[in-house]
Amino acid sequence: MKFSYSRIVLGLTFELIDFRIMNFDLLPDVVGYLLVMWGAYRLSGGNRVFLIAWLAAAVQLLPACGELFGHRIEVPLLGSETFKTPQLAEAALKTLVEAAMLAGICAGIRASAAKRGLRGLAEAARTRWRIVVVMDGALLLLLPFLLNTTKNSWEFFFLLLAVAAFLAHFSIVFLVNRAGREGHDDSEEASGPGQQ
Amino acid sequence: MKMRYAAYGIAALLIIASWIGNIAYSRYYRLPEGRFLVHRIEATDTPSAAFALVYVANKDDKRTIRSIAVGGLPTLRFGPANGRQELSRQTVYTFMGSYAGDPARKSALPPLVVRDVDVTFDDGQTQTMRVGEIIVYRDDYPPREIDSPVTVTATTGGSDHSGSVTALVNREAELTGTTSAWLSRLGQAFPFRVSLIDAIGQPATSVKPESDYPVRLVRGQHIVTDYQFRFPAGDPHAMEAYNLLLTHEFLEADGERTEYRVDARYVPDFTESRMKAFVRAARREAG
Repeated sequence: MKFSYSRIVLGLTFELIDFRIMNFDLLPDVVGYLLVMWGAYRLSGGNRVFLIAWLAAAVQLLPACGELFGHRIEVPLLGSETFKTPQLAEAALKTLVEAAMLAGICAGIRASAAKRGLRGLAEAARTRWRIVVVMDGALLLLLPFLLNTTKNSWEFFFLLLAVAAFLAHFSIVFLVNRAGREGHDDSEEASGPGQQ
Repeated sequence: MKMRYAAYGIAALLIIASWIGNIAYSRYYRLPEGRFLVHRIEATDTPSAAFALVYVANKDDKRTIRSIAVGGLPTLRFGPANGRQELSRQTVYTFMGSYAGDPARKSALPPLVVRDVDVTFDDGQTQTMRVGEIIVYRDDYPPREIDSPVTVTATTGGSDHSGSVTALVNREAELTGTTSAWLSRLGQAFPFRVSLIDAIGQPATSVKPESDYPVRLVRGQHIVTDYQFRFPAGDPHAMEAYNLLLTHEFLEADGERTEYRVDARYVPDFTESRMKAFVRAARREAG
């Protein structure tokens, strides 16, 4: 079954893309995290490292539920309001957990690919993860500077960084899709870690 | 492997240091509470616009000012806060005051010196806050029509805190003095020049209060008063708000003494570094 990877692909797409009409997200993050959890749990039968992704997605469920009721964790770079420490800390925590989820996915794909000698896929997983680490690391490092700088002077730079980080995250969608196509192994997909 | 873990460790330390440093820096440059600038103001209490108070608050302050009352000036009302300048952590507001008529007052009173105002916040709390020193001249009331020997014909102001007022002399008089309560305090930071022009297009003749007064004024002449607030770099007075009533005193042919006031105002323009200095001073004061 390639469905576990497909679920993660779909889940990440739901989670990464916000398509809002009248402030309502047509691709709710809650659904995205549930799909990632589902896929990661199934894949963890073959490789327990996927459980990291499962756990990180589970942690993100709570704020994602909050989003449904209007509490969005975001750093509005284009607005005029100033930033407060709790707001930035919330965004940093979300970035950290998100990175942990992607780490679990990448590490799982890499381990599975290495086990079956798919060096290209293993290498791609490692490279994508490194890019995510660099981007998220840069975001985490620079985010608190928003407390002490006039927004206008940093706006463009942060926008650029945010776009780069988004692309890095989204590249994982393509990685998972590739893993589903070429790295799939039915034996990995029991009904969970307990079925090994 | 070890190198990789070391790199992750260094990155994590850098991120933690960045957060701790930025939060500490941000807290340090936060005002202990909103406060008024130190004002050095001369004003009157005639029914019209009075003077403005300048207030600085942290952007994330939860409470805002609902009203301001000044003891001894019952008819003085302040309008809502007007945002004057936005900085990264603080906002500078002005509250414009104006007087309603005071039927209870019938005659001139000695000048009133205001150092504190009573501020009511939107959470219902009232606090007495220092505002510097505001001298309110309480002249004849209701204000009598003054037949001044001069009429203002032109007023200009510049963004460099300079200004110029030109007045036409209507009848002969002697210019005997040019005064303000804040001249000695400001010193070199408030250079002003009084000049006479016989007719438009003619060269101006500068007159010095200390050596040339009294000066005989002839009908048709113009008195030009040029001034500028020019604080040296680092002068702490540059962060105070000034309102001078630069008063020209006249002695007329019939012996009557009249005045004509030039209103010179200064509100500091804050830069980020000036605001930091202001916050540091406020923190020192708060202990």
